[in-house]
Amino acid sequence: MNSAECLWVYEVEEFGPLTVTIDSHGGNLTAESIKNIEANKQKILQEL
Amino acid sequence: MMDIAQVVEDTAAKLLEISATKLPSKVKEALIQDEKDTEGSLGKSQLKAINENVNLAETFTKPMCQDTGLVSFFVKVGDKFPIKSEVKTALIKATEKATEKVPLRPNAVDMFEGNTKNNVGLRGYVPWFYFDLVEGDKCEIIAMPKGGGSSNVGKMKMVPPGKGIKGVKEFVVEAVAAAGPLACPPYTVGVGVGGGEDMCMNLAKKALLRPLYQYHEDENIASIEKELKDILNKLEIGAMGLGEGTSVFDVHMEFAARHPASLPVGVVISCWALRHAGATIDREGNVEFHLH
Ligand code: SF4
Repeated sequence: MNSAECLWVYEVEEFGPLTVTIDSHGGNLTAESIKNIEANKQKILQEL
Repeated sequence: MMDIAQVVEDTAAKLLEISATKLPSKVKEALIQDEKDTEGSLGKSQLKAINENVNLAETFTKPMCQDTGLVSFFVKVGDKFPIKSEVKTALIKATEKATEKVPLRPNAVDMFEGNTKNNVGLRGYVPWFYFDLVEGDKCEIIAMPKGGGSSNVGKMKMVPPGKGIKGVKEFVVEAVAAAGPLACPPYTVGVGVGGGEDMCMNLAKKALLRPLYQYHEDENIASIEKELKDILNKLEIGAMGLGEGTSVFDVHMEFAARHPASLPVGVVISCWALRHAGATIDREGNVEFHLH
């Protein structure tokens, strides 16, 4: 493939540290964040 | 005689390169400041990665993000500027050229024929042009490539006019909350109010071109922009949506008159990679790149 719109396979050394947002134990930082944003939104709208 | 069309083409190709590889200085500073100010390690690490990436992109003149956006140009053509419709042709050629040279990711996909591979649509419209006719003998070009991820969270609503400015604010809060972590925050938010259903979106996009922390010249509007910025940061979206760091750098609003029966509100959200670059060309073909 010659374009930038594709998947690349890399071999890397010293990879990370990384943030795992979704793990295999059911943890999901994005879902948690969405929940928090939703709750904050309700509060904001009431006070507006 | 200088070939003006060629100057326009070369300048626009350069602008696409600058916008893809170098952030406007205000945006760059805001990201660096945010990295300093963010206490949580989760948010700080995201901002550190973004800033490192921004530096590498600038050093090697390579795109700061794999998504180099859908190309649009904001153009003001002076009455006495030697070429008019040829400007369009030159901008299309510039887009093809920059796609090869920078390179830009081929992002123009035809519904039926697939990716055109050169960022130019098969049926016109892409790159998209916002043309304005102005006095004088110059031509101003601003290139604005906008990523798909942050365009996906744009929203438009015909707010019931009775709700007034409160309805506008509510919708902006709803739109940015819905974007949440999805579109690579910290965000800059453009809001267009009034006009018709299409114009409010155009205005919202145009509002993103205003430098960060430069508020509307109308004080009333400026204070609403600042109020919304504070309110939106209470959503706690944070860097890359992880809840730590600034959620929204700035809110820019543009207002047009509206029909008595409607109150259109457009919200266009930019990811951290708020990219644009501009230049002015005079009738002799001298090019002045805008402070970036
Ligand atoms: S939203 Fe912006 S930073 Fe994120 S992938 Fe798209 S263009 Fe890149």
